Amino acid sequence: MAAGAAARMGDDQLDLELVKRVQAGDNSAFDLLVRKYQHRIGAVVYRFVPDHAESQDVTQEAFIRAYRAMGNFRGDSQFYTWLYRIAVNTAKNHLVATKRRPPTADIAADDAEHHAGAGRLHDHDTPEHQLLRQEIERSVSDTVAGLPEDLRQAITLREVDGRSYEEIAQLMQCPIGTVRSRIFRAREAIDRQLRPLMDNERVRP
Amino acid sequence: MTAIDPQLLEQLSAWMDGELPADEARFLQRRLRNDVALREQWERWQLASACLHGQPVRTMDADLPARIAAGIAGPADERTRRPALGWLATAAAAVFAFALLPRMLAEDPGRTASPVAPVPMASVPAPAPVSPTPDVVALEPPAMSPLPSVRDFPLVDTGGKGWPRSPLLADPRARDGLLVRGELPWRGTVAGGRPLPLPADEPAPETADE
Repeated sequence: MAAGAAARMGDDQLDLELVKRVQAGDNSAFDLLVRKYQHRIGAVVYRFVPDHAESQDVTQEAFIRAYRAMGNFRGDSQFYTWLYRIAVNTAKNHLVATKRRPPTADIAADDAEHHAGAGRLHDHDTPEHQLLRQEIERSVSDTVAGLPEDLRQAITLREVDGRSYEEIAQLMQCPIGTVRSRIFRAREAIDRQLRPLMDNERVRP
Repeated sequence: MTAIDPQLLEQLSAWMDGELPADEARFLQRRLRNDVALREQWERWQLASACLHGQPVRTMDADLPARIAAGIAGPADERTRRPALGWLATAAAAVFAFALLPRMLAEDPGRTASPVAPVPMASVPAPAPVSPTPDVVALEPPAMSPLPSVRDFPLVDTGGKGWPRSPLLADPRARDGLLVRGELPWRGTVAGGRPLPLPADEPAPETADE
């Protein structure tokens, strides 16, 4: 998984760049980090606080705490791992503050997203949200499956295999600029399907 | 909703993958600061990316980023001000105490003729060790002063002896006699004995029937 690791490295560097901008006082960079991670952090928080409105509030509090602690982040760990820990602690504190018992067993951030706990998330979810989440996932996968071969191969090599543009260019025997364009067009196609779902999801109380 | 320039979107896509040249990245970041629609596009692409990676997601309310932005703009400032106010109060108290100290020393004329000269704090000797049979030092009642002064607590030269204790402790034999006389009539009783009128500074017995 050297290619995946390389892609992760690029992702980490982008996060680190955004963190440095936040530390320099650029709040729009923090907004980008919020928009990037809110849905994943929301899923983590929901494992502890299985109520939609409540988990939104706890997620909000977790990001605010992360912002206030941003000066302490030195990049020794991945930003998401650091943020995950803050979210878990915030959720646990919330449970204690509301006289509920936090779970004794915890899941490491690295394993969290593929842990059986993710299954528990789905169990707790309301049928409406479960359906919408499934719709979003199905929409993305169906759109990718229906893409023209060159776009589908480019986005899959990038998102699933974690290849760099240079590696994809070599594999597809085309210029890097073409890879960049194909990945963008694939994302545009996915977004055309995703946007109505997101809009419908978000007007719902 | 106004359409975003496709070229800008392609740059955003490449930047998301860490593949945008530095000069283009700087331009894009300037646009991102003021373009909410571009940031929303970034959010949807990130969500799609998470789905493709099989990561569990939970769609958040559309106004969550705005709520977070409002949250970090408000109470955060208050929190950062609190420690500063705390330090300010501490510093003010210290300055006030320093300002009052010379006045407290000067407002005690009756003690100016004290035989004990003021001793700088740095040259105060370490307290003498307490002797096993401390001697009694008779203290006269101190002259009343309108304000307590540091000179009300002079460093008396005790000749190397311990802190003055109760006169009953001056003679160990007298103390032992008092203990024996007080305890004998009750020794062996069920109650184990009446508490003795111990001299001052004497530690209380651990058990009553000893």
